[in-house]
Amino acid sequence: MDGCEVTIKRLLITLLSIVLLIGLWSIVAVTINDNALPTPSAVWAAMVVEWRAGDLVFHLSMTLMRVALAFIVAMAIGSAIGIFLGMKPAADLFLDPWLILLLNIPALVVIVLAYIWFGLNEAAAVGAVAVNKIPNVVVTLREGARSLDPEFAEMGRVYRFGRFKRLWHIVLPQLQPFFAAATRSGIALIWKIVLVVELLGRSNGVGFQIHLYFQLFDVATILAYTMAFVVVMLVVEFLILQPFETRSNRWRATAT
Amino acid sequence: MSYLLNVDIKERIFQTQEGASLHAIGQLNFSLQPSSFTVVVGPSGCGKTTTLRMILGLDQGYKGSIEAKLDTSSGGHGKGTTAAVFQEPRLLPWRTVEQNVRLALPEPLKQSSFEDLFDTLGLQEVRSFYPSQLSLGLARRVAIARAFAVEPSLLILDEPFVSLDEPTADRLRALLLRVWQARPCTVLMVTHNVREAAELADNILVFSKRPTRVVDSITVEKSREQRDATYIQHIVDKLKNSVQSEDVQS
Repeated sequence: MDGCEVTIKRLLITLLSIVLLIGLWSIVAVTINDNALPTPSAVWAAMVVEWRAGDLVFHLSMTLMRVALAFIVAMAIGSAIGIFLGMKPAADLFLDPWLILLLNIPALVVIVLAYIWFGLNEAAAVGAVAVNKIPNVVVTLREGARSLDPEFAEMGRVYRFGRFKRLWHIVLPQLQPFFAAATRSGIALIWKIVLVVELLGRSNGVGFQIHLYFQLFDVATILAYTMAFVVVMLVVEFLILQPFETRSNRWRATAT
Repeated sequence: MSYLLNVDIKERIFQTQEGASLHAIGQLNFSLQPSSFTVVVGPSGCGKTTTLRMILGLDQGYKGSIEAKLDTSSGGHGKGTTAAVFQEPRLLPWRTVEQNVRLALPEPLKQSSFEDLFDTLGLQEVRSFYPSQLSLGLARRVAIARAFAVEPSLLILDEPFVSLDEPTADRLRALLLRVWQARPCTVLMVTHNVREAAELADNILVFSKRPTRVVDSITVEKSREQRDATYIQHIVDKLKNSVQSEDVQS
């Protein structure tokens, strides 16, 4: 009962906050009365037009596909390297300069070089996004691997846990918060870089459309695409990320 | 004489980060008879835990040898294995009580039931709980259940009843004996509580301060049922004497 009331209260507060934001936006837009800042209803109208034409769904799905691919590649490679470096201080010492270099190369440079070296193709686009994200995943998971509790490892040795058992029941559960952190910051970062990649060298996707409507100076449609993709990311957050996190944190409930 | 475990350690020296060295263990010789219950007592910080870690294979940096004949001796299906109850229960917090016990089981015991263990230790009601929902006493019982569930030849216990209130510790000691009698194996237990040693052990080893060696080895003659308060007091006094004389010497 209490939990239900709290949820409703929190939902109401969230709703109020969103309504207030849209209200403020409307007032400012009406006051300025300039095409450079369309009203929320104009953005909504543009979104409906794009939806009816079928463009919205097509370009959103292209972008979403690139985000998903780049995310999977970055998480797989980044966490493997990160866990390895966290467990092997010698390798970490040696490779740390490489990591700092990669962390500080601007996303734009990686994208431009990827297109020059590998051509204007899908693999170069997705790869460039992944390369931008990998160092962040490495740093986060390296921290996680450094904080692994040796007491559990010893328990596993005494009870002769095999390689798989050790990984699945001892190592990965301890790394779960670090995977969650890398995922959170990862998805937000990746979809922003994907737009740049699409703008520079793809002929579809939200980034390409924004580039197109930038040339037409159509701010309403630009905002329509932005809002639509933000909504998609919110759905991913609520339907995939949060349920997964709740599930993997259920053991944290304390004594009743 | 046949033994299950023979410890013949020459020395164990720890190097601290500042470059100093700490002579933790000296000449340390003792052996365990099959199916015996041996308790180690000694002043705190005397290398008892280090000795257990060396026996468990978690500390390899010693000179000397530790020889175990686990295969030919007591123990159930888990023949040849060693189990441990650490000072902290070391249960995986993200697995339930039952999963924690089941995970430790070796392949041949995968299908075995440990209902009797859970019954004896009073764990039936909490088998689907997570460790964070348990009191320390209950968590220790789970750790004991996990150790006996693998039916080991050798069971190592490192102060398994420390920081429990006395009635809880007493109950757990009685439970430990009951489980041990139902599933016999060779036990090596460390404690700083001499009364606990007098109540539980067949043999008591008294360790010296650093560098550790065995200063006294006492065999408790009477069976556990026959040990009355005066007899236990007698053993306790004897132990206190050896521990204290050791304190004075060093």
